[in-house]
Amino acid sequence: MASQVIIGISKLSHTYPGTRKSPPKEALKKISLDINAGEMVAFLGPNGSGKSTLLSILTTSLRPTCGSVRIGDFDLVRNPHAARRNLGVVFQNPALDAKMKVSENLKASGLLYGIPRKQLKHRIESILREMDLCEWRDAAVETLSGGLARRVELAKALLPLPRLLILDEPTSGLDPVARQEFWGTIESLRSRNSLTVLVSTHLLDEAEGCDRVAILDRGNLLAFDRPGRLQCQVGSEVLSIEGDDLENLRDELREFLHLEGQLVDSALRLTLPDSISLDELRKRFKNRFKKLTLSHPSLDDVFVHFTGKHLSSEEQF
Amino acid sequence: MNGVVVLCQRELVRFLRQPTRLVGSLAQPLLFWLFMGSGFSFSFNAFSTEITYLQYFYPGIVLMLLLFAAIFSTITLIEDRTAGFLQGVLVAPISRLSMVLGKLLGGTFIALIQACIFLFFAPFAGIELALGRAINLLFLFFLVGLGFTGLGFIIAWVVDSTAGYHAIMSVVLIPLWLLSGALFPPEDSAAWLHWVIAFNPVSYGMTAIRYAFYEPLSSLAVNPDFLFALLIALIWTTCTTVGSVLIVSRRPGG
Repeated sequence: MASQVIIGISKLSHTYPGTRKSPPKEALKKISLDINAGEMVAFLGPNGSGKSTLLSILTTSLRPTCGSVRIGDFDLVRNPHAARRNLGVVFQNPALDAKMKVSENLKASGLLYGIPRKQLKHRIESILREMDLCEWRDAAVETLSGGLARRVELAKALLPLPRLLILDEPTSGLDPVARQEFWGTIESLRSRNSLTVLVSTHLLDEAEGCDRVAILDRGNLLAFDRPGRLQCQVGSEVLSIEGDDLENLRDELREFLHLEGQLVDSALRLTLPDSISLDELRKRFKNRFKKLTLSHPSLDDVFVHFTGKHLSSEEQF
Repeated sequence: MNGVVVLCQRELVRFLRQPTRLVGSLAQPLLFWLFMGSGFSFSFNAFSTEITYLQYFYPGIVLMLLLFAAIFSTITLIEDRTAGFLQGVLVAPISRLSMVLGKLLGGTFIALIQACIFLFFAPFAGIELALGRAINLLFLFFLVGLGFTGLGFIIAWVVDSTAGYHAIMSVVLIPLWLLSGALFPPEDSAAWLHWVIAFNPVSYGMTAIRYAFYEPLSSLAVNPDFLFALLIALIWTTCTTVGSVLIVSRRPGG
């Protein structure tokens, strides 16, 4: 049986208007994709890929130039107010009042989401227990560590029992331990509730843990599939060659072995078919390699396959 | 409605948790009143023998208090946006109207608390505070406070930094107070200033508050100058409140 589609995005485009100094910027270009209920989907892409714009539209913070988005039964563009009731959002920047206590932040958020006061007290207690935050109930948010504050953000987002949880670079600024804890919490939440989760990230390991990954670059949706299947599209093994005169080497590989390589940063990357062995390559191009690396394709290789550049190298700009 | 109450409550809780803000917001107008009131007493009395400058300046300093309370409460809008709290409110299922009213009413109640405390100094300005007069004054403080908070909100929504807000405060908000008749009687000023004061909407709030301090309630109801000033103050406050709602609806991202 086909899964129920909870988010339907159709031909979604957005152009930021230009100013006197800068021309209009097309941030999203006719993106279409469906997300099933209970799925965890990662939007992977560098800065400027359009993932922040897409998330701003999905959180109703931004009205798209054209296209449509349905969340459940609601048209998000036409009826953002109704769609908001289904959304829990954790932003990249903290959205808590640092001067107020954890419980006060949760109470204020619960009331904003229209939870009746009688239910709210019980709901706050239960989410504090679930997120292991009971002992921090009366602490001002500004006194919490980064990891704890993120957990409070998550508790706040989950308080109105949303159908859809949107996480915008949720672990940015966290140390590795806090990051691991955060994802552990998300996993246990997903196992208990049928929660649909959308994550925007530029971290490959975070994307690899998701059910499906949407790869975005310069406003285009380049691929949308399970991480394993995306990796299969690249091939079974990826060879990375470092050495001198890589351009000539690439041409020779194309001419003699019909291998299509890509020059990325200071390496030549290619997918090695089963018909050609590594030994054969080494014999034919003796002394031309300084370093050879053979690996299973990662999502970074998938990104290179589609865009011709590393995800991490793009991040620096 | 919940949204209005929650956001308004938050403003008040944050204000009451910062005692320095409360002390500062009362000490500054008190010091200004004492220093300037005493300093200008002789020069002022040369023009008017009916009241001292300390007495004349008292309603003016209450207006300044309302203005500064509005400035400090709306500048937090920029902090809310920078710190990220605002984005959480903007994706919550509350109307933009609730969001604006919550912020405006929170700011106005803070102004009202400060003005109420300051009313304890009224006897030193030769003003007797009967219950009717006090209630009338509170209504006017609310009206003028809301007008200032609305104006502050519009400015805070448009500018993107606290430094920019301070610049506008210096060249727009403070002159609105200076040229409202708070510091000197308009009738004794230069002709061009007279015109500027006449076109300054804040001066009508000042006039209404000044009358309410000095005249009994019974004569206010038939005083055409007071009623006209009240009408203009009402229109001005309506304009800044509606303006705040419109600007949030037009520029949803802030």
